[in-house]
Amino acid sequence: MDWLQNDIPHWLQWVGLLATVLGAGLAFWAALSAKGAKEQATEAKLQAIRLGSVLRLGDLIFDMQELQAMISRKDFHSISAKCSHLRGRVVRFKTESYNLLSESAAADLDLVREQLEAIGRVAATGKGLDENRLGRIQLAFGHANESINRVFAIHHAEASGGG
Amino acid sequence: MSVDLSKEPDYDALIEKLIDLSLAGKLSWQETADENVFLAAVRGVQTFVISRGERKEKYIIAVGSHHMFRLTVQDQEGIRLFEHEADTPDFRNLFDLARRVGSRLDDKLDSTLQLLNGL
Repeated sequence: MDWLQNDIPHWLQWVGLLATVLGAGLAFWAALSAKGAKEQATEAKLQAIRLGSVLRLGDLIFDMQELQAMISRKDFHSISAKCSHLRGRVVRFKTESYNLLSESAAADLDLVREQLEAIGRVAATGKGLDENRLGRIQLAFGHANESINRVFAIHHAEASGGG
Repeated sequence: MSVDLSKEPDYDALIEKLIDLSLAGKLSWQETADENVFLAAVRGVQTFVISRGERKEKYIIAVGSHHMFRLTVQDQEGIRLFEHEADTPDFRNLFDLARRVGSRLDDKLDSTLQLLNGL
């Protein structure tokens, strides 16, 4: 242990101090970079999920347009079947995307689901003149379409990094 | 919390709460394809559906109500949590409020008045 008693040159002490400080700095920078990389990876994963979610919403909106065409044709039997199918898809979408949805988006999807339920029911068993029934169905479709497009717009903005 | 099963569930408290929230503008009722059904979604957690139907009884006293009101509460997946059917003044009041908000009755009245004022 004699070497510990030796006088270490001043300049070498400085080199040692600088090396220690530099090492600590590098370690800190590495830790920060790792954290940043992890956050970026998490964000990228979230973006990918959002993008998938946007695509699924796009599909739903496409199906809504098909429903609109059926309403225009006054094809009540098809409207009823389409509403039942779409309602199920909205429920699945909401369940699978729940972590990505804000309270208002989730509420919008609930409104879409229930509007589709009512449209399907009225189309299948509604009473009264067809024109009146059609008017009510068109009105409800308008509400449902507005809600789902609002969810799509928010989702799209978030997936594009604007949210 | 113990429940007194000898009493009816307290639906009245729920109806009163829904009336208060509707009056405060905190429940956005929406009209549907069925003119007797209105719905409101709350935070994407529960959905309230209020409907009015014809009474099923064969004989109805002339001065009595011909309608029955039903409130259905659904969870976030659209599964029915519970349902209550009655014909009470509060229930009627809630339905009227839901219809007024849902069909934007006040806006329609305003536009009609504006139209008539322009004559």
